[in-house]
Amino acid sequence: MPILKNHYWSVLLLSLLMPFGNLYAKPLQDFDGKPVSLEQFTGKGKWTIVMIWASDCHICNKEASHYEQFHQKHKNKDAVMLGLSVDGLANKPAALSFVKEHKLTFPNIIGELQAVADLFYDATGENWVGTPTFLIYSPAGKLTVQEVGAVPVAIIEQFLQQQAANKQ
Amino acid sequence: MNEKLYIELNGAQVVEYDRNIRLPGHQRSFLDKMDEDMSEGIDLAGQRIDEPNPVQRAQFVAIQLFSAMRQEEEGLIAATCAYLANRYPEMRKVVAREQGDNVSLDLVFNEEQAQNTIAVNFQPNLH
Repeated sequence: MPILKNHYWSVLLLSLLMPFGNLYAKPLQDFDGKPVSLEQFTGKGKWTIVMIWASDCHICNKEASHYEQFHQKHKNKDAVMLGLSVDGLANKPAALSFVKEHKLTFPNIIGELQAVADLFYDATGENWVGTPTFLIYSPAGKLTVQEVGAVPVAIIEQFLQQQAANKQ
Repeated sequence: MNEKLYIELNGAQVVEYDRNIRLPGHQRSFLDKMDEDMSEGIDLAGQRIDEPNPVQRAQFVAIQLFSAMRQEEEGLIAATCAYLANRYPEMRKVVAREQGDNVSLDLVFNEEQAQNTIAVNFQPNLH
């Protein structure tokens, strides 16, 4: 009985705490469950290309390897990739499979679809459309480009070249 | 209901809209405004339609979506995708193909049943 009673109280306490827990929970996590924010990955002296993906997104699956190649080519020079999955915690295993299947070595983080859509709106002032979506942050951490839909790597490389030329 | 709405342009999928997303209030109002505006009549592929039916509305909005994609108007892309996804929960795909100056748009409601495809051909007026 004491165990049941304790169990009852702990469930009640948990249900009371849940709304506040959700309210203050950081919306993004790394795949180890550690709360993270986009700001932790941007503004580190290189361009950061954030690819927002979903494990069941056909385009994301088709394009992922190209972004891995891009990351390998640029990570020691001018740009790095960051993946942001909208699979949510319930679908974290599927998101992990995506990372493994495409052998992604760049950092990937995860959030609930709604939370990412809200973050996107806060950052850009635009409503979320879908996956993939790209955000490009300057080396100083300023959001410079937002692009809905697939963006070929060649276009991003062109953009980086233009930015480098403008700087000179 | 199909959970996702796929947008395909010239044989390649461009974006996938997830219907699980909650529409913010201002966007819901905007979709209502789109309905109100269309109730006053639309020009569809060169024809004036005073009282558009649901299929004609879908075709009209899909044309707006295509134009928005061509002009990279992200706000309009978001609004038109949201309209099609929310007003037509069974819509699976919007397929646009450019053939010279003409564009054909197919609205696919069920991939297994070809008869559930509604097509419209038009010449884009992007100015």
